[in-house]
Amino acid sequence: MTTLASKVKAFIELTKPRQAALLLLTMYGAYVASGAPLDPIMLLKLTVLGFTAVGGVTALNMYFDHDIDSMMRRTSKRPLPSGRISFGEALLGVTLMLIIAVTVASTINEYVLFTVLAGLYFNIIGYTELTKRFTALNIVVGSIAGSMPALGGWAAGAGAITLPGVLLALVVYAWQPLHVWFLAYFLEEDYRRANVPMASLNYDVRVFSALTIVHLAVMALAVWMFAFTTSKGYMAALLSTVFISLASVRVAYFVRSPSRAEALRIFKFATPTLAIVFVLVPLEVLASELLVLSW
Amino acid sequence: MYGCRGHRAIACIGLALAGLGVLATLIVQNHALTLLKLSLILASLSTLTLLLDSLALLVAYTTLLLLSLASVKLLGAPVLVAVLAPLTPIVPRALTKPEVALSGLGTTLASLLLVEGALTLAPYIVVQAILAVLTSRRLHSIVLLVALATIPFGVTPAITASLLSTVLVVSAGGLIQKSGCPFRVDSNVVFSGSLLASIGVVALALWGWSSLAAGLWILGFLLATSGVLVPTRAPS
Repeated sequence: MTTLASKVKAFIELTKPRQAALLLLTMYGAYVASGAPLDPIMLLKLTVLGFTAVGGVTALNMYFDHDIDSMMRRTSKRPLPSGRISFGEALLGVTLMLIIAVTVASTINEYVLFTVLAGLYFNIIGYTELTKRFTALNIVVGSIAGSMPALGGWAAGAGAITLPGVLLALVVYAWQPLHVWFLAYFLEEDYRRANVPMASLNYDVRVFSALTIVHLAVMALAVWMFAFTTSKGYMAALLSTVFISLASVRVAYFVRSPSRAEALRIFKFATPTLAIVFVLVPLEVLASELLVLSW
Repeated sequence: MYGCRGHRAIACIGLALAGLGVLATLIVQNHALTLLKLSLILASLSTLTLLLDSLALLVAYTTLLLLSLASVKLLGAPVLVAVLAPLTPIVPRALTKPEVALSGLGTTLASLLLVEGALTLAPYIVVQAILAVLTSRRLHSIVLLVALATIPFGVTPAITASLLSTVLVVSAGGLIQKSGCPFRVDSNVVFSGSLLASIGVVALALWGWSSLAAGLWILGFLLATSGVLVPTRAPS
């Protein structure tokens, strides 16, 4: 029993629940932003879908990357490199999770199903297999996968993939370099040991910082375009612009005196920069609906 | 791709794109059949590229293929011309490797499928089935058995074409492993993917179109594809 419990615990660790929770926030946020009713059954479906789809793909990613993980100090104690779970057990768990994800998604609609399978495609084939070890711009492909939960949330609420949903997905897409490149800079030794190219390690600091700021500008543009196309989310656009500006200033400061400590500070600043959009936009939508009801 | 000649790398990417094409059928349903056919051609051409392992031969074959298809479509030339002409440059290679001839023939027929419709599907199935057996490992047999089992239930060309692209991806896996690209095959992942794809196809054949069956098929296809493109090393 202890063995089974420890195996289950190891598998849950393999799915990186904390990362899944952040992506789940983008899914809920996009769902509510679409104006869909807060149906408890749908929210339950989205929760199961989010954890199984994101967790399953993440675990499959670790399955394929176990050789890299064993070379990096930060990841060497993960369940697969440390041998706490076998490859067969991990693959069985991944397959079951993905089957559940596909089953649940197919009960919502085909667009949601598309986002689940597209997330798998871009994360595993596009990122882990074809770009991660071969180009420093790997995250440009990998970020597409990260934006799928937001697109899926919107598709679940709106019943289709429409422009506002794509804009919310673009917000997540454009945010990811800030999150990933500065973490990689902080963990430079690990990445170099595993020989994984990263823009923040292989390019001049001015180049990758400029690329990050361009992505942040796209993020701000996407938030404002969402507000203009839906006439909702102006408060979120305003506040996220403040956060994005602060992040850009930090990145600009980083160019003048790059350091691991500053890279870590920027990395930590990234999560609230994204969270503010996916918390405030749905709150504004809910508030406006309550206002309409009260009239 | 490090340690990998250009055309091999393109073939690997071609396989990945075939997966993307199949995925897109979920949201572009008006053009689902065309997308599936294009994915099929992409997968079969990628397999041929890996088998030939020669850019010059590939260019010669592709040029003749395009010219033949154009002559059939625009000038009304006999279909046999389109089937046989592109094979000419690969005959020397085919004499020592029969799978090269079969793969070339399969690619031609898949292309004809796009321009001429479903009539060419039958010989295509035969060609690809033989190809799968020739380059076979145990997984191919499973997928082929499923293909044969579903035919009496009235499988549409699209579903059969989808199934065959799974066979091709599995076949290509063995070839990628031999070709020296920085990829290896994880047969456990390929097996899981093939099994799921087979379940999805059987469900589609028995009960018709449903999101769940299509989703399982595509999930299986993507898993099988990911199983043949497992990276082996980081570049030095």
